[in-house]
Amino acid sequence: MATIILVSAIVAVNAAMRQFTLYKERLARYERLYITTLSLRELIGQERLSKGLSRHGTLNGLDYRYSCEVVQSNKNFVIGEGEDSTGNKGTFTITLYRVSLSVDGQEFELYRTQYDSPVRNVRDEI
Amino acid sequence: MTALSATSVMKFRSAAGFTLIELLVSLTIFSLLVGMAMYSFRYFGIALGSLQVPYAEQVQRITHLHDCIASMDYYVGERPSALERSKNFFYLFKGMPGEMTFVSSRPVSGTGMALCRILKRGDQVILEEAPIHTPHNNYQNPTLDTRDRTETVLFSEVRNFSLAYTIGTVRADTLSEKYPELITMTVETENGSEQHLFRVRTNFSDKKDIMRSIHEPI
Repeated sequence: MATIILVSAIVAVNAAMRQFTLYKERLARYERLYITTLSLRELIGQERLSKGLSRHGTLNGLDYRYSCEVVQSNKNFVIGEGEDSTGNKGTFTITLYRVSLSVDGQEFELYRTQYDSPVRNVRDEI
Repeated sequence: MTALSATSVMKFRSAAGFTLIELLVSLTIFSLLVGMAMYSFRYFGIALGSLQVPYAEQVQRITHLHDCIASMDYYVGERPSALERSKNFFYLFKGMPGEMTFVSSRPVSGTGMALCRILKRGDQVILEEAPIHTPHNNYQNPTLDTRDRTETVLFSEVRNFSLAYTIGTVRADTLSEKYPELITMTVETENGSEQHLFRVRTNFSDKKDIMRSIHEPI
């Protein structure tokens, strides 16, 4: 009887330890994924987006891939001037992008508004 | 004869230990206990797996650091000039390969605007913060040498630490009085090398955020 209890206890402890190690590894992976996705979000935010833009690479040992598509694009509205056949007459083109990001098999989606000017890069204005 | 038989049965039972019924009952109780323990452990695992917030302190610190750098302000300092009557104004940002100084409206410790410096000291990467709008600091030309200064350990057991600054497609190791668009922080520990990217809101598309950060943290 004592042998049965001892063997059972060893099996139970072993199973518990194995489970604990598994969850610890999963948590470590989750944390690495979280930190890497935060960094990638910053990278996408800094980049000048365009229609069909696609990038891939490796960061912190995790493979990533992202691509963006235009949701809607329009010029800013100038008060006092009506719309003509080409739309609003504003200087800036305001574009909403949808970015699909994949990090180590995990899918994320984020949206970004970008201002563009046909005259020159509006980034220089600030 | 009957009395003799009863005595012998009692002796036999005490010598053998447990009956089959006792054994089955104890095994059932034991297996129930093990089952309950395993179920609770499994439930704990499911709860851990569906966790939506960072668990480790390290992850929390990095998240706070992202907020701190994202809320970097275009802070204009004043340098008094003894020779010239006019004052010298400058952007309060200094980036070097192993050190970075900036002003954030959302420091990791405290709530007000603070002068921040990230540097490696010993085997730790530290964030030093000194509130600007206090009687012990000069808001025109703030310093970290005040009694209000706080220190937060960002990374421990660090072997190598480096910072790089990107403007457009140009990457530099040193940047002074100019704001970068992206900061790349590389931290090497015994577990390997990690790269953290931090964006500074500098482009026109971030104008709304920049205007908002004057009044409230992003």
